Amino acid sequence: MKNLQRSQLLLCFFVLTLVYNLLPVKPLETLPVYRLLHSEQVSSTTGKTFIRGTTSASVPSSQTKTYFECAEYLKNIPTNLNQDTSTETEDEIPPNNEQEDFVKCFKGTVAVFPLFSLLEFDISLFSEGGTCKGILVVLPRDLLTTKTQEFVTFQNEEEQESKEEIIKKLGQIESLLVEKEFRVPIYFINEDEVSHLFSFDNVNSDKQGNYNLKIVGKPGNKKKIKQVSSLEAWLPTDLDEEGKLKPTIIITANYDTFSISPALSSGLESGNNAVGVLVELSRLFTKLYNNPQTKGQYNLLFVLNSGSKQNYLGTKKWISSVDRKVLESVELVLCLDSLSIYDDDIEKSKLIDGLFLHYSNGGKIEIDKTVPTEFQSISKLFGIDTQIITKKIMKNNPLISFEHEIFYRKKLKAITISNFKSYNQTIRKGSLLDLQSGSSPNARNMETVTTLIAEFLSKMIYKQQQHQSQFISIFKNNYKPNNLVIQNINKMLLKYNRFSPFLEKDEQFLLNLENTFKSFGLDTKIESKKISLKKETFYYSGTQAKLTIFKVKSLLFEFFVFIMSLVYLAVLYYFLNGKQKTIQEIKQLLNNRKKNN
Amino acid sequence: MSFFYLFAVLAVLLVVPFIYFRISTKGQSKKKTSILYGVVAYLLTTLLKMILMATFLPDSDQEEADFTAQFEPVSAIITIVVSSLDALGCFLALRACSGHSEIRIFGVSFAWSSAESILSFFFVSWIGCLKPEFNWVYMQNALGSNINLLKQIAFTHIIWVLWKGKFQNPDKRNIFIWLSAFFITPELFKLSEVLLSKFFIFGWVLLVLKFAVAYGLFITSKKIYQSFEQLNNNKKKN
Repeated sequence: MKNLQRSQLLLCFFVLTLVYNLLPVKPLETLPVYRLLHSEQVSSTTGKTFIRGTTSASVPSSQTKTYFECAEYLKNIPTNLNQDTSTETEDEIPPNNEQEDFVKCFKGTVAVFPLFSLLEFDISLFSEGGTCKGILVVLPRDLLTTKTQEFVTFQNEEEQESKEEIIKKLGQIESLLVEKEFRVPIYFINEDEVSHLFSFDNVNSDKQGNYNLKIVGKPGNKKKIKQVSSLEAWLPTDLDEEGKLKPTIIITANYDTFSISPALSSGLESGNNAVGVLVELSRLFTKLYNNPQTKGQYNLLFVLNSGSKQNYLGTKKWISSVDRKVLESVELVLCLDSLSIYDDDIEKSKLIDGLFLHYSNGGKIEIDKTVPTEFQSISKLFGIDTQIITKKIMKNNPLISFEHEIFYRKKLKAITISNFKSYNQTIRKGSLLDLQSGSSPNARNMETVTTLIAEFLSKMIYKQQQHQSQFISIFKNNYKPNNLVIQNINKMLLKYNRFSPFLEKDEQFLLNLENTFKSFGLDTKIESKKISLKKETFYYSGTQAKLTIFKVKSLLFEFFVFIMSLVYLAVLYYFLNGKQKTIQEIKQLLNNRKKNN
Repeated sequence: MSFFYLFAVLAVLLVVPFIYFRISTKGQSKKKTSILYGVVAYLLTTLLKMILMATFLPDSDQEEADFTAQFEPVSAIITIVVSSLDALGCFLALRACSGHSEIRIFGVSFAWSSAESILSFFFVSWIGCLKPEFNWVYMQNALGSNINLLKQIAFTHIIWVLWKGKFQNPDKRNIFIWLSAFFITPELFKLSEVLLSKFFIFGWVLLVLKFAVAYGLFITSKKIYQSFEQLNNNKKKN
């Protein structure tokens, strides 16, 4: 009988656990997480595939471990006790052998790292599958300080790291993450959403709530850039006496971005206000052209292109499809690259680093050197230092460093205005910092930059004499650039992810920009062109996922609760029965057992 | 999370009333009938209450929450009136079963509160305790059901005294008993929970307060019952 009862009980428990596993479980919280880029590039020569970013998408329900729980493995262990152990552990990354313990510490769990902790160890050790169940990188609220309420500084607290150094470090982290193939899922999450769950204050690192994380992510579909959209706004002047087009000036900017997580690509690339500046310029010149007395002698064509991070694919495609008559009338192409300021010091009217004017020399097209020098002299009047940088174009090198080179190859005179001296500065490629750069564009300086560019253009358009003492500024009072326009454009762009391969023909922000130009009175159109490339980079969709968090307690704790409940029962029994009776009953039980034995 | 927590919760939920019943009714017979009548009375009373509530209670948007309910006067009054059926159910169960008064009282109250805790908390706890997420709510519910047992015993005592006393001792004490019966009506108990939750008192603190109130009611009801029994015995002697 007893055996039967036991087996029945066991069967019941078995069935119930099966049922439990089938039941849907309500999680503690569901949060959005953003997957690290996954891209593939096939080499045209060797046919080899280069995979970048994370190839894995789902994280099964697993326990979490934060950086601090395993950080002790990263401290240098002295081999000889006589030796000095005064080496700074913060600056040196221990050799890979010692880091193996650190990596083993995370086995079977989801590793939760604050962003800047990724510099303390070699992240590529996690690239193999099986090292951990997944990595969750927590992005601090303010990337420029590396310390927030919840995070510990990853720097010497006595020295305040300059923003440039922080930007450098950020660039290092981003290139580390994107240049390798990771077979573990890597996701980003904002600090604000997990600050109440994980405490990164290493003093209280013992007080980690036990959590299980689960991410259901789709591996995604392969995406290549199928089409690029360009937005043109045409501001014409009257035709000349022969009925032909008067000279044209093209002003271009790029609206797309790059980010190591495509779902976090809504930032203003390198704090780029170029799109906003271009829109504001179009508004000012439309105002001038509407008045017959101030109508310029040049046609103006404002263009917004995509694909800038894919070797300026959009611009290339656009220029090959422009009306020949317009192309022949082009006298200058002004490319607006990054126009941004990182310093929030509003009292300073000087731009940090100044501006750089890039143009190409050599070959059949020669830009009149007065053009760059004119820009330089006007910029001095506004208190901005502009450096002129020339570079020869290597015809065999397909890499386009700045946008003007594309126009140069089409035998058009072009210059690029940029905040960057060099084309390969890390932040220029697009960074997580971009997400925060739109939050506080320096008001006065953007007005200054816009005024500068407008005055420069107006000198060409209205053919003013260039005497510094007689410099007549047009763009003041009614024609003063309005920073609100730039800020509103920025605010609008910040809402949309603008990573080229994932953009469709009828993106909302493009339609918004089209409406903006139309509201100024410009003839606007959006054109989408199909792309088919020989060398292709494939990107994978499935860039966003849902993270579910369960709060769990350790088994030991639950066993303790079970023991406490038994104690509670015993105490209750004792209390209700009375002291003497309970003792009597216990004695009886013991006696009965002895008798049975 | 694991079976340990489940066993802990079920032990507190089921074993405690059993211990109490066994100790209170030791060495006495005819326990099973009182338990049976208690269970049947509870089931039928609950069914009738549900039908009446569904018919008369206005629709409310509030979801079922553990301790953060909002107080609505109209629905509270209706639930008070409907839950007075509890008293009727108890009374019928006490009347139906036979045996010594204490057996009947303890049997019916044990059966009533056990049935209530099984139907309300047993299956929910079984599923909830095995979830990956750990939640104290299930243990709190189990301990709450123990407190409900105390309250139910007090309630049953009062019903007994009202039943036996009404026809025999029409004096000032009856008014006091009537009042105490009204105050320990279940809906008022819930009202107190709602009021306390307004002051953001939930979880363990609420449990402690509930226990204090239930224990106070239990002591009061026992004293009333004992004084009634004394009176009865004196009368019999006389």
